[in-house]
This record gives sequence, C-alpha cells and structure tokens, in this order.
Amino acid sequence: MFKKYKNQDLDMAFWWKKNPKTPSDYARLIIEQLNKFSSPSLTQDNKRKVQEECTKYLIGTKHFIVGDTDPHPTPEAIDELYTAMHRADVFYELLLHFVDLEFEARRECMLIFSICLGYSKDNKFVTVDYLVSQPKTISLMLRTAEVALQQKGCQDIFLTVGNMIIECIKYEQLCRIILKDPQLWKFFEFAKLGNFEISTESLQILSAAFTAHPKLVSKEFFSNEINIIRFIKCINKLMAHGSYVTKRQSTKLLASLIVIRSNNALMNIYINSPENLKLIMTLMTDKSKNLQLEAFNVFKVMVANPRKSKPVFDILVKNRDKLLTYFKTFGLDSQDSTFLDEREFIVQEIDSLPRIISSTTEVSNNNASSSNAASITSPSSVMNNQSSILTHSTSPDSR
Amino acid sequence: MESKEISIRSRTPPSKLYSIQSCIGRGNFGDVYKAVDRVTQEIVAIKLVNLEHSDEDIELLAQEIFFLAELKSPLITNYIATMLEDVSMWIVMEYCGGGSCSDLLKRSYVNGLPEEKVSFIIHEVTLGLKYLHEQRKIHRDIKAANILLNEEGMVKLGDFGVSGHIRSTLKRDTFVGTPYWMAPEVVCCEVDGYNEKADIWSLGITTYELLKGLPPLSKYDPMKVMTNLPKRKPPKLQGPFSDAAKDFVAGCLVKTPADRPSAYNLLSFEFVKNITITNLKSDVDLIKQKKVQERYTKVPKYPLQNRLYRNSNTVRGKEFWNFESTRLSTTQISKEELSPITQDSPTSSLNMESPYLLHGQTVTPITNPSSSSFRKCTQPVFELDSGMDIDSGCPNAQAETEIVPLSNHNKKHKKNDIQALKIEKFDYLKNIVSHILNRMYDRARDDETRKYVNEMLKQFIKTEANVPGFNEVFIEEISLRIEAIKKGFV
Repeated sequence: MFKKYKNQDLDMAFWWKKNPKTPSDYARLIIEQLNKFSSPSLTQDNKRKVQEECTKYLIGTKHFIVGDTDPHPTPEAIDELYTAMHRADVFYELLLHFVDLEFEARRECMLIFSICLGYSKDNKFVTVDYLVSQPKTISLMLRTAEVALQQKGCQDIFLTVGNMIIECIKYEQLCRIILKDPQLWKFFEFAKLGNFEISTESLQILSAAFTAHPKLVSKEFFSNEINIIRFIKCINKLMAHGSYVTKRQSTKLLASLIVIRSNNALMNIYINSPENLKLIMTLMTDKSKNLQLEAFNVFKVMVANPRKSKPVFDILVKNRDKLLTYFKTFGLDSQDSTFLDEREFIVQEIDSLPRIISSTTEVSNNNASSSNAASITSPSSVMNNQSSILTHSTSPDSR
Repeated sequence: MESKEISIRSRTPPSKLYSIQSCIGRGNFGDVYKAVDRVTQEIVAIKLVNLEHSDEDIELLAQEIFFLAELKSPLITNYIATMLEDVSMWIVMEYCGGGSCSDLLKRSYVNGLPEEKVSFIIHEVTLGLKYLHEQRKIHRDIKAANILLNEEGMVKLGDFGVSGHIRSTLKRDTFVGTPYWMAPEVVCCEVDGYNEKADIWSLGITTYELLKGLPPLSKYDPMKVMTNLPKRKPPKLQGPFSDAAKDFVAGCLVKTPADRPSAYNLLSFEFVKNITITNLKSDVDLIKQKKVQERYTKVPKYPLQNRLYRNSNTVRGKEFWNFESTRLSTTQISKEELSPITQDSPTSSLNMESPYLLHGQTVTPITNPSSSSFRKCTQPVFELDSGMDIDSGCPNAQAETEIVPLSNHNKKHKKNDIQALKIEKFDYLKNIVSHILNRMYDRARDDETRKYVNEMLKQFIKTEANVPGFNEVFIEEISLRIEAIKKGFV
C-alpha cells in the first residue's frame, strides 16, 4: 500500500546498477530532463514522464551527496559531483523549471541546495563561492518566488523557494547579493498579500535579510539614504495595513533594527518624523497587547531621543496628559524588569514635558471632536495655535 | 500579479471557507475541530491557535508549520493550509476520522491491545518516523494519543511540529501526561540537546503503553517521574508478552541516545517484521459506534467566539490621541499611511450577554414558538455575520436562514428575526450544559461525585433528544431567575 506513493522506498541500489554512471552524469541527466520541459512538442503525458525522471534523478543525487549509496561514494567522487553541478549550472536550470517540477522534486531540490551550501572543502564553502561568482542563480531565485505566485498551488512553490532564500541569507556573501537585488523590495508587497503562508514567509525572508548580518546591513544597506527612505515607507505600510501577524512582525523588525547602534542613520530618520510617531502611537492603542508592546519598543526610542524634532516634540506635548493616562494601565502586568525600567523612564520623560494651559486644551478638544473641520483649518491658524499652546516659551531645540 | 487562486481564497476568512462541526481535541496551543470545506465538502481537522494569548514566538510557530507544509506521506496527517482570522491561526490538516490509539485503549482495550495489533501500529509508526527523520524532522511528542487512525483503520502520525518545544510545554499547567513519554536526555538537557533519537525512546514507551494500557510509572506524579528519569534504570516490559515485544521495547529504551537504534534499524526487529494484519478498520468502526451511542462531545478549552477585534472599526488611535493641530499637515503623507486597519476586519459574533439586557421577555420557545424568545432578545451592536457556525441542533434554523439576505437592511422589528437565527445556531446542550458539567467533573473531588455528574449529563443528553429545546429553556429559566434575583425581585 505504500508503493502507491511515488518514490517511497525507491530501491536506489537497483537503479544504480541499471544505470552505471560517473558522478557528473547526475548533473548531465538532470539537465537533459529539464531541457525537455522547454520542448514545444511536449505532451501532458510526456511531461509527467519527464517530471518523474527529474524526481528520480534528484533523489539519486541527494542519496549520493549525503553518502547514502552502496558503496559509499569516495570524497573524490563527491568533489566531482559538485564540480559538475556547478559547471552545468544545475541550480540555475532547476530554478528555471521550478514550477514544472513535482512537489517532491522541489523539496529534494531544496534539501540538496542546503546540503551543498553547507559543504566546505579546504575551509571554503564551495557552493557559496560558486554562487557568488554566478549571481544570476540568486537573482533567479528571488524572481522565482514571484513567478510562483502566478501558479496553481503557489504556496508550496513559494515556501520552497522562500526556504532556499532563507538558507542563502545565512551566508554573508550571499546575503549581500540579496540585499543589493532590487527584487528584494517586492517581498514587502508579497507580505501584504492575504495568503497567510505567503505573507508570513515573505516577512520571514525580510527579517532574515535585515537581521542575520547586522554589520553588513548597516554598512552596505542603511548607509544609503535612498534605501532608508524606501525601507521606512515599505515597513510603515506593513505596520499600518498588514494582517494582525504582519503588523506584529513588521513592528518587531523595525524595533529591532532601530535599536542597533550602527543603524544610526535609519534611527535618526525614523524617529524624527511626526508621521511615524503618529503611526506608532496609533499602534499603541491597538487592541492587541502584543502589538502595543512592539510599538512601545519603537516609541521609547522616540521619547528618549534628547534631540527631538519640533513636530515630534509638539505631538508629544499635545498628548502629554493622554500619554500619562495611557501609561497608567500599559504593561502593568509585565514581569520583565528591563521593560518595567524602560516604562518608568519613559513615563518620567513624558511627565517632564511642558504642560498645556487650559484655554488651549479646549481648542484642541474642539479640534479632536470635529476632525473634518480641523483638517480644513488653514496652515496659518494652525501655526497660531501652535505657538500659543506651550506655557514654556522655551523652544525644544534649546533643551 | 496575484494568481486567481490566491485572490479568491486569500482574503476570505477561514470561517467562510470551512464550517466548524465539533471539537475533537484540546491542546496547549489551542483546540482541534472537525470541519467541512464548504466548497468541496472535504472533511478536515483544524487547529485553532490564538496568537494573542500564546507565548509562542510567531516566527518559530510559522517555521514549524512551514516545515509541515514540506511533508507529504500517507504515514502522517498531512498539512493542508494555514490561515488567519482575527488573532487566531487556523492550521488545516488532514482529518483522521478513526480517532487515536488512546481512544482504542480507553474504549476497547483498557488493559492493552493484542500484540498483533500493536506490532501493526508500531510498524506503521516506525515507518512514519523513518520518513520524518529522513526529512531531518523530530516529532517530539510520540504517544498513543498522537497516533491517529483514519476511517479505513490506517495508522497516521499526528500532531507534530506544532506540538512545540519542551520549554513551552513545561510553562503550562496542562502538561500533565506528556512527561511519561519523554526521553531522559530531553528531560535533563536544553532544547537543542537532543536529536531524533528522542522519538525512539518515546516509541518504546508508546509500545509499552499500547501493550499494557498505560505508560510505565503512570501511577506516580508526572513531575517526580520526570525529575527521576535520568537517574532511574530504563523501564522494562514485563508480563505475558512475547520475547519479540520485550526485545523491541528494550531496544528503544536505551538511555544513551547514540546507542539507541534508528527508525531504519528498528524495522528489522522481529516485533515489527511479522505483521499479520493490514488495518484496524473493525476497531475503528466499533469505536465510532460507541461514540455515537454516547453522543460523545468534547468541550473546547477556549471559546470559539473569542475575538479581539470585535468591531470593524479598530482604529482607536485618532480618537485617543490628539494629532490635529500639528504643524505638518496630514497632506504630506497619503491618508492610507496613517490609519492602520486590521484586514479581514472581523465581525462580531455571538454575544452571550445580550439576552439579559432587554425587556425581560419571558416567552419560551416551547410555550410560544412564533414570538420572540429568550434567544431573540438582542443587543443593538449585534452584527449579522457571526464568525463561525456552531453545529446547529435546531430544526428551525434552516428555514430561517433564507431570510438573511432579505432582511439585511433591517427595520427595527425585523432585526429580532435576523439575530434570532444567528443565535438559533447556538447549541445550548453542547456549549452550556455539557460545558458546565464537564467543568464540574473536573472540579469533583471523588469518583462518586464524578459518577453523579456523568449521570446528570447523560440525563440532559437523553432529555434533549426526546424534548428538543429542553436545555435552552432550562438555561433560559436559570438566567431569568438569576437576573430577577440580582434586580431584587426575590
């Protein structure tokens, strides 16, 4: 009854005897089969045959590469296989036809890929070095994720490619290639898709890419202001409009990035924008306690900043009392002493903000109650409001 | 860019795709329900995990689930999909209608299964473990309760991956039961300190459990068993069993993981080599019958209707904070950037409080079925779409369902009817009476009390079968009385 499931308990020894080959034949045979997919005369029946052949050769390759054959392959034979696979660009070709492969073939492909990445000879990661010299494979991998979205059963394909991408990210040199590829931005879009698996996997890829090698990211990615601005725009969208999970995960990612010292440039741009502050404060009033906590981890940086921009300072001042009310109940049940210390510090900071005199409180209340009216208020009257609002005449910049 | 398939299914909340039928299991991470795909009529099992209340890191959870997505084998319960609704994750898995091996122990073989059946089960499980270990995956929670049977009596490994890490298991108060199956290295080491051999130990304990009816040391306190495990000698299978069975158990229960055989090696043990049966269909059928007779139901640990985002308007920020007279006007940034709205904005669901709030109506469905009854009392905020359908035991429900689209734009007097049919689907027997009695069962101090509680439950079930609506009226009267007492009309 188990035989009905394809390739289960496939007797490799038998197959091996029937097709005696050199290690490089594995690569050659896989490529041969893959090329058949592109043939215009390929019928549905033939395609199935080709798919099965591919799966068979991939399973054979995996068994060989992990030394699971009888007799065990010699180290020389394994080296030969690696060389042959690299020379024939097997991974590139597999990715080209990724959507044509069977479910099991794709999984084998992923397993082989991660085994290859981890394989080192003379202290060198052979496959990693190969991929660095042939960046087209990684580039195709990132694009394959997008191609997968147009396919039936796309989650399976997307998750498999996604896993291969995450495997790559573990290696700094490969992560560099991924960070430089404009295709990476697309994953912010995928993270907004309604499909839970695809959006979560996309966010995992982004998190991995931006956190696996902090130095690389701050030196080569966030050193560029265009990247920073685009990153903020993208992640804000996820925090504002993602699903519950996407919101939590993206807020967490942002919070973890801005507290890294070397990401100074990112932090400075983020925490000085009033629009970002509004977004974070809005998230702090979300019904999800977990999301509130993630948002607090960004908010605390904004409040603790000794050189707040004027617009950020103004928002905080205007909401001083509301913030104090908010923190009366926020995070009270937490046991985490670091968090409680931070909370205490933030409350003190807010408490030391200048108070608003009562007459203007009324004005702002009016504004709040009729938000439509407020939005048509001319800029000049807003300015007037602004200046009368503070009891202290000290400008925040002089603090 | 989105494929058709995604665009159709993705935005649809899972409660619209699947109709939840009954609770079939309770776990630390959430309850498991039997459900039906509304389109294909396929029966599935759905595990509901409330992410807001789970301490589990979402990233880890997702990684484990996605690993499941890469497994496909007839030896395991296969993964179908994961979806999100409100703050709950719906993990859709293949449904095993035959229950678990612990059902077999509880209902048919209290003192253990016959050896030929155990060797069949263990053979299948070992094959499943071999497959899993080849995929570089550890099950972590092998025990009879996690060995499932489908309708044909075929064996499938279930509930892995998501069953999670030992650390999170220990944190919870419901971990009782699992320690008996744990390998010594799992107990004393940190999470990364064990490998797939831990499953082999648990397999040995499970073989013991299936043969004897209980795991070894089960009469002792699980915490003590756990702390003593590393010091103790491995348990031994004793009694009227074949040498093959004893050898197999002893083979699995080797304390040093490296000396324990792999799943592949275990397959050449005599115990699992000579299999005489090919399925457990007759046992599965028998258990099914028993369950039908008992009107067996499980009461979920977490209420289904629990939702965080009850109203579609989840944006509290603008009402709460004062963002108005800022110097930078909002025109600088597009409006959409500023207003986080949770997608799939959930609708409100059954609200059990509502009946108490309105005019103290006392007409019962039995005395006057046509007028508005207890169920039909409403709260103004009540919305049409309940998140989930609960098994409807009410014969009228179907007829009334057809009114929905018509009365959608409701006038006040029609409102009652609409809301009535949502509550109509509420099963008072299952969700209140049986729930209460199950709690009482748990609270009972001795067996005698438990026996009475059980009898009481049976009585309610029997009465409901003969007098449909009995439970509803019963609860209605209780709540009206309590309400009256609270208001001082004693």
